[in-house]
Amino acid sequence: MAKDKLDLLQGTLDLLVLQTLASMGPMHGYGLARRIEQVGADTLMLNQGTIYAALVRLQQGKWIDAEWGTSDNNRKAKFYRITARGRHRLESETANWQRMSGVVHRILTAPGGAGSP
Amino acid sequence: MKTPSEFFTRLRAVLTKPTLDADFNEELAQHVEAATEDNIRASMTPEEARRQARIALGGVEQARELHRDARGLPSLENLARDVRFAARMLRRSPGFTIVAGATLALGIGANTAIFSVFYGVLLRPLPYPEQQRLVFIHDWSKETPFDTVSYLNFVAWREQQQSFTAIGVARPWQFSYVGSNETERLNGAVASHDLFAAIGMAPVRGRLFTAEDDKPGAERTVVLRASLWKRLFGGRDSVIGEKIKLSGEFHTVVGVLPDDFRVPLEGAELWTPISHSLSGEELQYGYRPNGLFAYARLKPGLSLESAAANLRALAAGLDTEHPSGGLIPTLLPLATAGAGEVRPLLYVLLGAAGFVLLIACANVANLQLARARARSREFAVRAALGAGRGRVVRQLLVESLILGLLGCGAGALLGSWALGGLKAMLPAGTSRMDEVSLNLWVLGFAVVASLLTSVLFGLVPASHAARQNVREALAQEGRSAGSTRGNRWRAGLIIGECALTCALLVGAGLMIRTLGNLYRSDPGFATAHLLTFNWVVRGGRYENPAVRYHLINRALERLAAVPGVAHVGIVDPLPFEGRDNRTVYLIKGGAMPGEGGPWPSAGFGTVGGDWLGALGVKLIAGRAFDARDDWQSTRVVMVDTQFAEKEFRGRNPIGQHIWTGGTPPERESDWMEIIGVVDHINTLGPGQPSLPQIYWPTQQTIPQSMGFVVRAEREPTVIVSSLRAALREVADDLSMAHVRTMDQLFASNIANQRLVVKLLGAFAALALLLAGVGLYGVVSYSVSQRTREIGIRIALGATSRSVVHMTMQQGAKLASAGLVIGLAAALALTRLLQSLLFETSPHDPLIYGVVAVGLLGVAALACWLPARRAAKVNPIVALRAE
Repeated sequence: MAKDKLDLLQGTLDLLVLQTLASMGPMHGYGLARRIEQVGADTLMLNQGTIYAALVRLQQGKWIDAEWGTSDNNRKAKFYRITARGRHRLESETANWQRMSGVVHRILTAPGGAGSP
Repeated sequence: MKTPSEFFTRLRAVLTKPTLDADFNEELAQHVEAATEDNIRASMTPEEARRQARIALGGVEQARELHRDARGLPSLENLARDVRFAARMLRRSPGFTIVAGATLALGIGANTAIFSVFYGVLLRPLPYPEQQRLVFIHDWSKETPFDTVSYLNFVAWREQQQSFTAIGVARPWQFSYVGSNETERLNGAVASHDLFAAIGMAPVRGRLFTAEDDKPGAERTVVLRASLWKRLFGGRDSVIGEKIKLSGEFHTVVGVLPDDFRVPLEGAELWTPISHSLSGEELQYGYRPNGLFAYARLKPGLSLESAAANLRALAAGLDTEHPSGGLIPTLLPLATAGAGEVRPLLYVLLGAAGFVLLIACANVANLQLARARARSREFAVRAALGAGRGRVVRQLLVESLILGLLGCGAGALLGSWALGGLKAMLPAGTSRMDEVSLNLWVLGFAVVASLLTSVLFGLVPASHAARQNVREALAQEGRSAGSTRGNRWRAGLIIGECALTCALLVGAGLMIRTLGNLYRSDPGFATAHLLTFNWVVRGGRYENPAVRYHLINRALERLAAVPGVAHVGIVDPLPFEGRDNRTVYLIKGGAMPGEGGPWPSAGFGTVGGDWLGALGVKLIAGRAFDARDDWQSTRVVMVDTQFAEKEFRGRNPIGQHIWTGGTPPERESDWMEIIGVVDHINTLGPGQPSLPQIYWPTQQTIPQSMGFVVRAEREPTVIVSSLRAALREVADDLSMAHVRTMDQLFASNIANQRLVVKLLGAFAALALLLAGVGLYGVVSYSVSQRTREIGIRIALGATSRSVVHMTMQQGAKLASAGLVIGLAAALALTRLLQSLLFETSPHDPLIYGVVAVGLLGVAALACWLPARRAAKVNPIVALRAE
């Protein structure tokens, strides 16, 4: 694998899953993994197995629901859907993330810093 | 874990694991299927497509693991796995499990039983409200450190004291009660009305005494304990207000007390106001200790020390008015006052049991160490497969814990079984004995003890196993090159075991010596073929002294006529009975004790019939009591040689006069003439103060309760029924009580020492066995480790003799190191035994020598067995085994 791929930051996978479910509607595990890989445009290194651990965590928090259904190509698959509680959390977590990344960005681009021109 | 609800979700996941696993397997299968199809569409071969799908997933098994961890409770599941694994390991080596479990069970069982008694007698709170404020008051003097209080002093204290909310007294008393078919003797007490207020217990029915009930001439009343109320009256409410006949007098039942009320004695079941039982003499002169137990309740916030100081000041003031011979009232917390002389005994036994437990721990730790060594390859394999140190340590600790719990269960069973026997062995009448049981506190103690021991014996081997080098352990094919670290631990444990064993052996040895000295001690009379019993003549017509006088004489005559009886006499208190009767006295014509100064005191007994013949005591001078000395003639006494020596020093005591009262006699005729001198006998028992004795004749004191001594021609127990029948003829409403042989009385007199000998002896023997087994284990383990070395030595010409010598030397070093430490510890520790020893020095060199030789002997045997095996090593086999 390419060395310049980024490891996923701890805890951010949950946020990505929630966001994906919120924007794309109910999806199954493989679909989620594919979607996140596509959006991540191959800069993100995703171990697909970790998706399922994230899904379990999100279910325990009642942020998502799961039920068995039929996929596009007529296969049985488990579909995950975001709950109202999950949307709520997504909003607050997104806001947190943006504040956080803003702060990190400011620090990294501060005059005299390594990232300054 | 963030929330309880999440915990429960996870816990549910653990419990429904199979369903969830199946569900997830299906989901994963779909995932791989879908990914494979996508990859095929991206023009891969089907095999490559499936492989890539799995790689992207990061491995199917890994995905499952991640899923399970997120879903369930990983630590709990790991623990469950550890427990299952440990149980399997223990099952696989049943020999080790049984030996280790049994060793721990012995240690924990011994501790559980001893602690049950310790807790029940010394720690358990009393059932009375705010029991920490309750105190027991006794009189202290130089000669008698533990004495009862007098009625008149009590009355004065009650009027003047400022420290207590209430103070009351009680005197143990026996009542006769004529039930439906037979006369019953009931144990109870006469009590001042404020006793109940002091203890602070409310009646379950009716009321308790008022000050009005406790006045001479008041209507007689009685309070029953619930147990008696149920036994005699079926718990009938209407009994309150009824009159019942006790010792010939009608008493109105006014109330019922709960069963928890145990004052002044455990067995007290009824109480009457004290004022009816006081003689005019006691009310006038009773400033001497007179069998009264005093109880008081401290005012809230007042310390025991300041209350004691107040009472002492008060008593000092009274003493100048009525000199009592230097008596000082002393306060004890009621909760532990009853434990008395059992207390040092219990401390010793608890300490000894603790030693046994420590030795058991050391042995099991040694077994674990040896086993851990044998398993080093197993640990190395596990470490190589990725198990962290923590994992291995935890695994071993779980094994220890399971062993500990096994030991705890078996030990608790063993302890409860041993407790029955232990209770029977403790001196009868030890306060609060009957409620000693395996309760929650005791079981808690057993569990804590076993957990602590599991950690103790598990930690060393565990940390040791975790430190080993994986590569070396694997390379050596399970044969370890004896790491010095493990050997040092094992040596240290063995030395500790030997030291503890040595201390226990010395303790047991000193006690055995003591017991021998006790049995050899000469009480001054022959105890064989002597039967004793008590007889109480009280109530109704027996309150008349003239009736009693004739009754006692008839009883003596009838008993003497029973076939098989050689001599019959009355001696009260009976030798070894434990009643310490003392009196102050004056010699006519001697010096008067100074104002407030101590009066001379002596023991006294009431004697009658052929008591000299019955006990076999020699008359030294003068004459014995006879028919001339009746209740109308001059008052006479006999004294013993010790008294004569102390007071008359060579002068003839016969014809001298003495007086035994707290104040000088009022009439000249009150002086009592000494008519005879007898040999001294030790009535309180060996190791107890041996006082000069004064004897009064029963014909003049006409007591209400007395002890009989019957010397039989043969074994005395066979004539008990004819003696009983003879007494029935004399008075069929009275019966003999506490029938015991003199040997039994003597045995109960030294019950404490006998108990300590038995238990300490058992503990020491157990310790010796465990230490021997431990030493054997260490030496034989080291022999098996050094087989190759020994083989080389033999090949190079070492004789089997020198091999044995070399092997035994190793064990001898450990044993002697332990012995030296143990002997030093014993020198310091046996001082705690001092109060139980009799004519034995706690530093008795003979005992220390015997223990040293014995311990080394056992150690030599324990080392010789493996040493012999070492000598038989065949060098060819040993070297070829490489």
